[in-house]
Amino acid sequence: MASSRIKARWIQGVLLTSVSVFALGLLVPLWLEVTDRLEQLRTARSDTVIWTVVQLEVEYLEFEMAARALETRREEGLPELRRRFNVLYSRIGTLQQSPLYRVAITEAGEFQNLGVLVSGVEALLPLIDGPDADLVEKRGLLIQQLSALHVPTRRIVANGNYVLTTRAEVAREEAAKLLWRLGIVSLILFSGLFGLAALFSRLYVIYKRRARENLITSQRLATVVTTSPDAIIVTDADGNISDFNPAAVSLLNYEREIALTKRLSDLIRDETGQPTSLPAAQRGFFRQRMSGRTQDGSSIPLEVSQGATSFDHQRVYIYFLRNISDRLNAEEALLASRDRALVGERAKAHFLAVMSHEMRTPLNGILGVIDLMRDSVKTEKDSHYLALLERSGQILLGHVNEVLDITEIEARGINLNIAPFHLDALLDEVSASLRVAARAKGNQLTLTCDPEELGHFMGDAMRLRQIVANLLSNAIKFTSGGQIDLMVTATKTPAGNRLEIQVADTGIGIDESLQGSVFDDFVRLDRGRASQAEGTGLGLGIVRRIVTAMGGEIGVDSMKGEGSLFWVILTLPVAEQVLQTVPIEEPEGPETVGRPLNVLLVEDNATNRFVLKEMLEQDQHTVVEAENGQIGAEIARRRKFDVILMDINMPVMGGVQATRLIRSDGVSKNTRIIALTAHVLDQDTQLYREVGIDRVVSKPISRRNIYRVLRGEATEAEPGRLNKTLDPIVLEQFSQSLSSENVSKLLRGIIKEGDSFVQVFSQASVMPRSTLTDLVHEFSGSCAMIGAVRLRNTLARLESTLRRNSDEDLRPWVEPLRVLWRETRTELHAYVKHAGTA
Amino acid sequence: MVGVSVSWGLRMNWSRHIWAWVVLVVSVISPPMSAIADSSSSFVLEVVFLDKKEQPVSSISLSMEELMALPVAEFETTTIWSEGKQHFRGVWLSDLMVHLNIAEEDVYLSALNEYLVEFTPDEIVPGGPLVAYERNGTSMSPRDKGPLWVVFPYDQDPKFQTESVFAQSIWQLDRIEVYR
Repeated sequence: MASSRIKARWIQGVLLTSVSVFALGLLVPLWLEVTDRLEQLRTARSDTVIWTVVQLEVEYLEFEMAARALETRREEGLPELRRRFNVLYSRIGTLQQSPLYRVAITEAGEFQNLGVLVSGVEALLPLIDGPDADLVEKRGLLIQQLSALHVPTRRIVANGNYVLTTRAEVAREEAAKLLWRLGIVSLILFSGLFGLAALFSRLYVIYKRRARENLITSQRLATVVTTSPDAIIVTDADGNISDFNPAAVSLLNYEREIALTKRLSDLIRDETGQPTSLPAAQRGFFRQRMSGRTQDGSSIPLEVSQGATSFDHQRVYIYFLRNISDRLNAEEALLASRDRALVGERAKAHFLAVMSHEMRTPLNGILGVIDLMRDSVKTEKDSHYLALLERSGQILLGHVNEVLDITEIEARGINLNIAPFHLDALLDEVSASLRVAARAKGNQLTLTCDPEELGHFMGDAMRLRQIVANLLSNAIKFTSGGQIDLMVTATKTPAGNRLEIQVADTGIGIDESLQGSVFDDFVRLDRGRASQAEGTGLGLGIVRRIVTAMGGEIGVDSMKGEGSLFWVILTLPVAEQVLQTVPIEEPEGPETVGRPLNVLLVEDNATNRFVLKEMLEQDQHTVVEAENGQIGAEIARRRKFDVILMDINMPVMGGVQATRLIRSDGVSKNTRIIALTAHVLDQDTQLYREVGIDRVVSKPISRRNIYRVLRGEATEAEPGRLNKTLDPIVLEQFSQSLSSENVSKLLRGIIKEGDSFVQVFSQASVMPRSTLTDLVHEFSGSCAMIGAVRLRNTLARLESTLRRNSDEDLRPWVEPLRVLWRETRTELHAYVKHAGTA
Repeated sequence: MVGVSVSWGLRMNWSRHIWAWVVLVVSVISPPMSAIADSSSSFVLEVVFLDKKEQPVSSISLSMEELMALPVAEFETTTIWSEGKQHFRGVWLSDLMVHLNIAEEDVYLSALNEYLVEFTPDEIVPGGPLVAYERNGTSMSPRDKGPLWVVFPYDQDPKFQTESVFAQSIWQLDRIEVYR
């Protein structure tokens, strides 16, 4: 804005200057003219011309008078007459000779008259110069001749006078005009100069003000820089330090004078202490972590911001340095506390796992023995005792499960294992299992479904089972001789299916004031006449958490004395495909197994081992025991078995490793392996599948479960589908949907992909984790598509490990993956060849 | 002629007495003779001395010869009363004043037509007013601004080209008045 004003001023200046110059240009010739005119006026080439002309008449009259005086004076008057004649003659002569007068008279138009005058006096000469007596005598004639000259004389005088007068006037006027012009031009010139002077004084004021403003601004900036708590360093384009503020002095411990001799790269290194290339050529602002070197040589971690600007066509770089030691310390502390928390988490999880194993294993023993004893119990009383024992044992197990469950939920939240399941089957199973307990209290338990066939859904079956079981067992607890109805309705919505599960009972009901708190932890309601308070009070709490985790709602309607209605609303998507059917609980009855099997039992706990052995031998199976994985693997490799029951947690060698060994070599390589585990965690299921375990059963194992499990494989155990390198069914489906040349093209592509993957993965340590995870995911998908089951499972596990723990050491994975791929590749290659010739 | 011979005689010491006799004789005889002689030996300039009351006290009459005997001066100039360059020959007015012993007084010059003009002592300098008796080699008749015309060397200096100088350029000069 100010600059445009300045511009305007400059335009004015130029204008005024040009006016002044123009005026000067006019002035010079004018001055010359004036000087000239002044010269003229000073050196007037004019006599008092008018006086001279007038004098003509005077002298004429005097001559005439002298002539008339002859009348009286006669000869005495002659000298006077002659004198007067001479004067007149001389006068006329002068008028005629002088160019000045001649011109004037001619201008007046009296040149002719002058001629008349001249000839007139010439004519008188003979008379005047003649004898005196003659002159006196002829005086009459003289006067006569003379009077003829009177008129011309008068004329000359009058007109000459007039002309000369006007001439003088004109000259005066011209002089006046000249002076006037001179005055005007001088005035213009002076105005122009004055204007310029005013302009310059204005400009001076503006510039002075500007200078003052700049001074204030620069002072302010200087103050900012000087008092800034951040270190500010200014350098030129080469990095030579040109400014170093007090904060920089105290930060880097450099005296200002010394710092000004240094280059920036002397003072600032990168994070690892290597020299940097500052100023960086980047445009715009950037910020980086670097380290600064103090005068005494030590390093300080810094955050360095660079800004650049141009000044006078030179680049100037400005650096802000911040000491980030505190920040780094805080980060470290944060990381440390996070690690501690993670360690604590892991410790907790480990504790949980251990505790659940520790608690459940003896319980398993108790219940197992009780199960065994059932057959050998003879008396009614003993049977009753046994029933009580079993019941207590079951209750205890239930409590342990609940506590461990909620502890795990609290520690890690609910991990829903989404898989397709058959809802009808689930409901049947749950209601069937609790019907006994219901009947024990004289309750009628019914199941109603709307629609009658609910179908398959995607969800966590186990947790859903937990919800329903919990609600039903609560209903049983608080109802005697009543009605318990399980009602499940399914309605289609755009999001999926809205399931409403209602458990209604005709029990004692819940007091209105307590209805809000039933879902809280450790809340147990008084059951009035009931003698024993059963339950930990955690059941509904767990249910609530599960429902919340599933994104549903739960609630209760109750009337004291009338009964209660617990409702749960969930939205579950409909299942697309059904992979596995959930085994339906068989109703009670004697179990037959089929043909006797050769069973290898690998279990470290002696009691459990004993129990299981007894159960199996009662069913006519042959049982070989091994107390840890190593022994078990040894035995399995030397001897072929129909089924191997493998405990997971064992000393010396666990079930997973033993399975690997068995599967790698030996006569039982393809034997069906069933894992027994006290705790089933999702991740482990993947692992089990991957090493080749066909089935996982959780402890405690009831007899029923054993039979069920064993019955599934009456015939020679086929290598499970889970154990295949290439699943032929998937491959078949895959190749049926494409043309044969596309199939082989695709398969060849996947072989290439696999080769490159293995190569890349051997360099896994130098790759960024995210890239690696994506790579694994992609290849895993390809494997799934063509049915490379084992490889796919391994990759899936690797992927989830990568996602879970980015610091995982990947080196143990390299060799197994390589081996797996080699095997898969061989089979793929064979298939391609085979498919090509087909 | 007489004036010339007198000055000659005065110069020579040893023949002074002789010449003084001759002069005496001649001067006795010459007045009447000059009266018979032509007008060229008559007086052309009358110098009158007056007192404060404007009464004539004394007078000197000068003839052309006497004037011509004074130191001669001449110059060339144009004038506004004539055409072309004119050659004037005469005597500086200053020299005339020296001859007349007039130094401190204003002098008044008048002409045949009673034209009167004043000269102050500082105006009467050599190189200034010239009493000219010859123009272009010939003497001037009264009918041609003669016999005596006071002229200035107009061309030589602009200060001679002013109206007052022109006014002082009196022609047909016949009389000088001095007040003492």
